Amino acid sequence: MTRKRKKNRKSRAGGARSSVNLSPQALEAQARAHLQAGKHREAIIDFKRLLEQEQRPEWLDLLAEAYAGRAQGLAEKGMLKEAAMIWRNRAETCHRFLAEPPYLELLQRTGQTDALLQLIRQQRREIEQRGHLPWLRAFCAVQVLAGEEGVLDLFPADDPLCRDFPLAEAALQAYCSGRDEEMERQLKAIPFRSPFRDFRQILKALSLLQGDAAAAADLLERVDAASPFHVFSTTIQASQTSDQEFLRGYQGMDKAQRHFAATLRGWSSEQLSLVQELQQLGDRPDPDKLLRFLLRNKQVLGEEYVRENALRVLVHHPRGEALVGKSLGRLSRFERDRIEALQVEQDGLPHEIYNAWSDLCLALIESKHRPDPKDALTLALMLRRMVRQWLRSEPANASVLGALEHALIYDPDDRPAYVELIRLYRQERRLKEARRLLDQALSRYPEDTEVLTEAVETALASNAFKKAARYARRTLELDPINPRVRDILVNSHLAHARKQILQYKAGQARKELEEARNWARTAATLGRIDLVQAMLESSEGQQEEAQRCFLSGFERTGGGLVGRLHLLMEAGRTQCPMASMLKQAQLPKLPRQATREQVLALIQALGEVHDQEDEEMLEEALEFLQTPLRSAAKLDFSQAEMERLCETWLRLGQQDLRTRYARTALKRWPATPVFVFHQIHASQDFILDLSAQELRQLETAHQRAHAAGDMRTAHRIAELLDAGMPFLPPDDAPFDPFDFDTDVPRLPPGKELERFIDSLLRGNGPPVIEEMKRELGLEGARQMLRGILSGHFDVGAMDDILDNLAQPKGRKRPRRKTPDTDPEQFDLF
Amino acid sequence: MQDPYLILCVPRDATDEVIHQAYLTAVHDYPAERDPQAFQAIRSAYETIRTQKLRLEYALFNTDPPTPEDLLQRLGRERRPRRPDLGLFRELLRSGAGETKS
Repeated sequence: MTRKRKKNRKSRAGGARSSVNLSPQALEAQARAHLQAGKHREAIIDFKRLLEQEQRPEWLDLLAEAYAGRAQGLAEKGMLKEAAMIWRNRAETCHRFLAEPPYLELLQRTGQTDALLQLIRQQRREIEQRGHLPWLRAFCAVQVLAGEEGVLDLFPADDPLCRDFPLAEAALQAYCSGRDEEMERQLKAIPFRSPFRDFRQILKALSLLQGDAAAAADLLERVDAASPFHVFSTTIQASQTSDQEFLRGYQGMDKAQRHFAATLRGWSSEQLSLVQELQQLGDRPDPDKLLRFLLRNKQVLGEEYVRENALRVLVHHPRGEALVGKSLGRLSRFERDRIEALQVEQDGLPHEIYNAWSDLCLALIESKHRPDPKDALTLALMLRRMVRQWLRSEPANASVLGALEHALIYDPDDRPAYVELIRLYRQERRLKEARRLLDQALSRYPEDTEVLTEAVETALASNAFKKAARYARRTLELDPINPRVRDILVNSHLAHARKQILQYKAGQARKELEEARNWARTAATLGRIDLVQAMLESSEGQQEEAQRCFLSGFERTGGGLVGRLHLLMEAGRTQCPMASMLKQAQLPKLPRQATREQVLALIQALGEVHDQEDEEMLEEALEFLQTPLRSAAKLDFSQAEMERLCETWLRLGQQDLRTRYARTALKRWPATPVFVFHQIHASQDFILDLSAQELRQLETAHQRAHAAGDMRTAHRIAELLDAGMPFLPPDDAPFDPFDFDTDVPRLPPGKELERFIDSLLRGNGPPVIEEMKRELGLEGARQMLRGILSGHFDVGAMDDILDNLAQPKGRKRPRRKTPDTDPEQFDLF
Repeated sequence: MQDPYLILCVPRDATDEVIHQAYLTAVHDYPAERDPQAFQAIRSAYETIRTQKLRLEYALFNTDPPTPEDLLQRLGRERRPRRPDLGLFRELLRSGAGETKS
C-alpha cells in the first residue's frame, strides 16, 4: 500500500512536472486528450494549471466535466464519500450548481439524509427551473417509501408525490401481507404519470412471479434503466435465473440486494452461507477441499448423496479414505475394491485393471449367500467393464471370452454383448462358438439388423456363401440402405468370383461378378468389381478388355496411391503376379512424391484393407508404393495426421517408413513423446538394444507423456524401457531358461519374434538352447521360447506344453489365459 | 459431466417412468431451438439414467466428482420462495434504490 501511494505520488509529480514545461497550447491539447480518454484525474490537474494562467470560460466548463467524470468513476468503485467531495470541489472551483441529481443521490447513499433534505429545501426552486422536477419526484418517491416521510414536506400537498404516496404505501403493505386483491385495487388508482409509476410495475411483477413468470419478466423489462426503482427490477430478475447465473450475479450485489433476491429465490441464510463457501472452492475444486466440503455439509446435502459423491472423489484422492471413514463410517470391502478398481483404471497396466475388476467380482460373489437379480446385473456390468478395459489395448483370449459369456448368463438381455462376443469369437477363428452364440442371439432378436449382419459375417467366415447371401437379403429387407451388408454381400460374390477364376471357371466367375454389380451402390465398390473382372479377362487372354477394366477400376477406387493399392491387392487375391498386372494395366505414371491428400487417402484405405487381408500380401503391395511414400514424409501433415501415419506404419510393420515419419515429426514437434517412442521403437531389431541416449530420451518422454495424461504412450514407453534391459543376465549368473524368476525382457509378439526364435533354433545354437531342444524337442523349445520372450510363460505352462506335445497332431492345444482368471470363478448362482 | 439426476430433477430412486416424464417436461421447458446447450445436457442426462441398467452402470463406474454447479443445485433443491417483507423493501430502497444511471 505504502509503495502504491509512493508510486502514485511519483506519477502525479511526474505528470505535474511534464505539465509545467508545456506551452499553454500543448497543455490544452494534453488536457483535452486526457478528458477524451477518460483520464479525469489527469485532466483536472491540466485544466487547473491552465486556469491558473487564464480564467477562460471554456476551460472552466471542461474542468467541470472532468470533475463530474471523476466523481462518477469514484462512485462506481463504491468510493461514495470521495465522489461527494469531488462534487463539492466542482461546485466551488467551477462555480457550478451543487444540488445536481448525482450529488443528491450520493448524499442519500451515504446516509446524509438531513443534509439531503436541507439541500433540496434550499434549492428546490432551482432544481425545478433546471428541469429536474420529474427526477426529483421519483427520487423522493424512493425516499418516502424507504421511510423518509419528511421528504413530503418539501412538496405542496397537491403534488403527485404527496397525492400518490398513500396509494403506493398501501399497495406495498398489501403485497407484503399477501392481500393481492387489495394491492391490485391500490395500484390501479396510481396514475400513469405518477412518480410511483415504476414501483407500480414492480409490485405487479412481484405478484405475478410464481404464476406467470413471463408476464412478470415483461413488466420488469419496462422499468427504465435510469429509473430510481431500477435496482428492484435487476434484483428480481437475478433471483429468477439459473443457479450458476444467480451465483455469478450474487457476487456483484450489496447486502440488501442479496437478502431481497435470496428471499425471492427461497434460499435460507444457511444455504446462502454454504453457497458462499462453495464459491471459495473455485470452478475446479481441489479434491481434498471438495471432500471436506461434502463431509462438513452432509446434513444439508443429504448423507446418501454425500456418500455417493465422496466415493467418487476418493477415486482421484485416495488419501481421503480415512476422512470419509471417520465421517460416514468404514467403507465396505465392495466399496473399497470398487474405488481401487476405478483408481487402477486411471493409470494401471491392462492386467492390473483386469485383476482389480476380477477381484471385485469375486468379492461380490463371496459376500452373497442369497444373491438377488440386482447382484447378477451388477456382476454382468462389472464383467463387461473388465473385458472392455482389457480389449482396449490387448487381444481377446479364453479367459476374457469366458468372462463375457458369464456376463451374458447374468444379463441375457444384453444384445450388444451377444454381438461383441460373436465378433470376438469370429476374430479368434472359433467359429463353432460364434455360431452357438449367433443361434442364441437370433432366437432372441430374429429381426435385429445388427445381429443379422453378424450372421452374414459369420457365415462368410465359414465359407457358407449361400447362407451369407440369405442373411444379407433378410437384412436388406429390414434395412434397405444398410451399406455394411451391401458391402459384405458384394465381398461375398467377389470372393466366390475369385475362387472360380482360380479354378478356371470363367462362366461362373462372370455370373458372380454380375451378382456383385447388382448389389453395388458406390463407385468405389464398382471399381473393386472392375478390378476382379480385369483379372478374369487377363486370365482369359482378353488383354484389351482387361486393360479397360484395370483403368476403370483404378479410377473408380480413387486413382493415385489408393487405386494402385486396390489393383495390387486384387492381383494378390487372385494369385496373379503384382508386378506384371501393374505393367499390364498401363496406369498413369506415379510421381516420385505423393501429395498429402493421396497419402491420407491411402492410410484410410490401408485401415480398411488391413483388417481383412493377409499381412504378407499387403507388405508385398506396399513395396510398389515405397518411393512416393518415403519422400512424402516431409509433407505438411498436422501432428494428429503424423501420429496416425506412424501408427499405420507400426501396424503394417513398415519400420523404415515409420522411422522416417517419426524423425520428420520430431523436427517439427521436438521431444513429443509419441514420436520419440515411434522413432526409437521402429529403429530396434529383433532384440531391443537401446543406447544410453535413447534410454534417457525415453525416460524424459515417459515423464512428459504421463504429465500430459497420454497414458497410452506412457505405457508403451514403459514397456519399451522394460524390454530394453540387457537381454542376457550378467556373466556371474549364467542364463538358465528354466529359471522362471529371472526377469526376462519381452519382445513384441508377431513375425519379428518368430524370426528371432527361428534364428535361435537354427543349427548349432547356444548350449542352453540345444539343451532345450533335447529336452522338449524342436516344437516344445519353440513354444517355450515364445512364452519366455513374450513374457507369457510360467511354470504351470510347462505341463501344458508337454501335454500338447503328447497329443495327436491336428488337435488344437488349449489356449493359455493371459489374465490368470478362471471364468468358472464368476459363478454366482 | 453434471449429475444427471440433478439435471432432470429426479430422486436417486426414480423409476424409468418418472425419469421419462421428467425428461419430457425438461425438453418442453428447454426446447433445442431455444436453448440448445440446455437441451443437449437434458438429452445426455436422460441417456445416462433412462433404464435401471444404465442407472446401475452410472452408480458403479462414474468417477466424475460433483461439480460446483451440481452442489449448488443440490443446495438449492429445497427452495421455499417467499415474499420479501416490508423491512427488506425498505432496506433495498435505502441502500440501492434512488441511484440512477446517468
